[in-house]
Amino acid sequence: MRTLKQELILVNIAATGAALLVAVALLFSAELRTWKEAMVRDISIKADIIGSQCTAALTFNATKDAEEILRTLQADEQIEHAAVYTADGMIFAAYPGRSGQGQVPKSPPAEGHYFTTGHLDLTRPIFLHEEKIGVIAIRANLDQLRTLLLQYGFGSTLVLLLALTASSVLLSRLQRTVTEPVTDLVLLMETISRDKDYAQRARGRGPKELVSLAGSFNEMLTAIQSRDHELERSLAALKKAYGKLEDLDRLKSAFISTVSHELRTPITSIKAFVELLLIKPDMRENRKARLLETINSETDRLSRLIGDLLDLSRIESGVMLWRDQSVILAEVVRSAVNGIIPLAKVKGIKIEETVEDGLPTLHADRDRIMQVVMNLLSNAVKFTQPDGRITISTTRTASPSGIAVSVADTGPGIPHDDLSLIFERFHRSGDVLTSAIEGTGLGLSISREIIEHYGGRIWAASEVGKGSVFTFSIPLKRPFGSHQGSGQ
Amino acid sequence: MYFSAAPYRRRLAALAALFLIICLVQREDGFAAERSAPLSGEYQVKAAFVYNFIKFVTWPSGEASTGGAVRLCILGDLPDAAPFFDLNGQEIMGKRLHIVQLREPQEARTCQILFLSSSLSRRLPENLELVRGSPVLTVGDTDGYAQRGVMINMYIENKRVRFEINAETAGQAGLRISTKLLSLAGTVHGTPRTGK
Repeated sequence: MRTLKQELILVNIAATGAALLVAVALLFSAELRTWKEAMVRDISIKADIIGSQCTAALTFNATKDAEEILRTLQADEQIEHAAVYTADGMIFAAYPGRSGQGQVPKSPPAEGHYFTTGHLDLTRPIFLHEEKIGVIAIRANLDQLRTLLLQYGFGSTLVLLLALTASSVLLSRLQRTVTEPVTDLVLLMETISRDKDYAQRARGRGPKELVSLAGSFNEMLTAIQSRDHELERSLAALKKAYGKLEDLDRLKSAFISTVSHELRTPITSIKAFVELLLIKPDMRENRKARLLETINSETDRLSRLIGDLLDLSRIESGVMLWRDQSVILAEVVRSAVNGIIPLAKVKGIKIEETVEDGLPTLHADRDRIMQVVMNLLSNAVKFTQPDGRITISTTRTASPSGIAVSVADTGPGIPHDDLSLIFERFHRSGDVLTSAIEGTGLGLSISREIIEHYGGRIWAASEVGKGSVFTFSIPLKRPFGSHQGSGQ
Repeated sequence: MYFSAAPYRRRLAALAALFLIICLVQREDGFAAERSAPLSGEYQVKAAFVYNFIKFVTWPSGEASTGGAVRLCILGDLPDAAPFFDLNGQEIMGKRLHIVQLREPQEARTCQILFLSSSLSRRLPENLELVRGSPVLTVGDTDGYAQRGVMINMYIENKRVRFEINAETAGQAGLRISTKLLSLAGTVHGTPRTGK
């Protein structure tokens, strides 16, 4: 494959060579014509002079004199032979050329001039006082023409070579304006494709087309770069999503294992007690009653657990039926407080309630909101020591405009590290098996799902040894898309 | 003889052919270069020579204008004058040629060409004196005539008719003899006057 430079030089040689050849051919044909005309003129003049000088000799039949006159043609080496003929076509005098070998024709050739191969034959009439008294015929060789041809051939070859050399030298300098920008572009392209560095840009210079090529190339580079960025971004997003999916998968596995564990615990004790009852049918009545009571409470726990799991899975999978209606939060809070008071009294916990009456109504499922409030209150009761105090209060929130409910207790508080975990499933403070505190560990998780369904937020603030405050807020206008669930 | 213009060329060709035959005959005989005795057909050749001399001589302008005619006069007796009279009425250089046998030498001035026969040898100076200063071409065929002042004198050498020229007297008469003719002449007496 030839380079651009070689290609340019070849094109130049072809173009210049062709042009020069045409010029040389035209010049030569013009020169040849001029030369032939000059030769005809020259020989004609000689023929006329000799013919005129021969008039007397012809008239007085002096052949020797005529031959003597013809011999003066010796001075011209072009002339091969010449002859004078009488008016009636008889040969009168002949000149056989310098060599003496020339064969003159016996009768005069037709008047005029004829170029044959290597010769010019010229025949002119001889006049004396307007009377044609004879004819002179001269044959001249074209050696001069051959020499001229050779000189011309040599000269034009020289000119051709010189011109081609000059134009090639000139072009190899001038071609840089074209080839250098191209070479630069090619080098840049090679560098870019090798290094995959799309931040580089081509310098647009040289002819218009190359500048526009560089411009297009740069645009392409910009496009590639932005696509690369986009690709990187989507890749990062994908990685993130993948990571989340992995986390979710882990969470699911952990969830299933926890659920199995949670389910097995009550079943194990139920089975053990039932077996005990079967083995010892003659057990004392009070002992039997205690066993049955435990079985019953364990069954309740199992039932609650399964109920919670069902709720959670319904919310998560979006099949939960939300019976939305106008909800007066004060009424819900009071009902919940009334519902929890017996339990609190048992533990000797005092419940204070500061509920505003003029709160706007919410549009939500009353039972679910009740479930959340009950969950917060029962948790507070569960973790508060006897003689403790639980305060439930409502406030309006400004941005977004809504209502917030807070449940504060005087319990042991939650360590700071656990604050972010308490809304996760099956998370409980302390050891599940050894703790005396009952619960499925799903209550807060379900509460969060419900609140988030209505576009609200639930959070906890706590200080170890001083108690905890759980708050949820629900906006009056549900933000768009929040009913579809949290996705967690 | 006919003096019409139509057969002129044919007759001239016949004359030329005769002239050549004579030349060929002359060439066949290889005698030494001696001025020799009269040949057969000699005056035919001489008449043709005289006729041709006219073509190589230029008369002064105006002098030769004698009504579009050229007068060739013969003074004295010729052994054979008939070939000359054969030329009577011929056209030469656009003019008609008249052959005249002079009775009175005084008429010589009216001629363009004056042929002086050898019979006039003794009275030659007087006759030449008659045309002195006039543009009359004097022609003869007698030994010594050229030296004695006749402009063109024919002689026979190697059985060929040749001629000698007295360029001096021709020049004095205002006649210009072509160098081509001079170069053919056996001898040229005096120096040819150059000029117009």
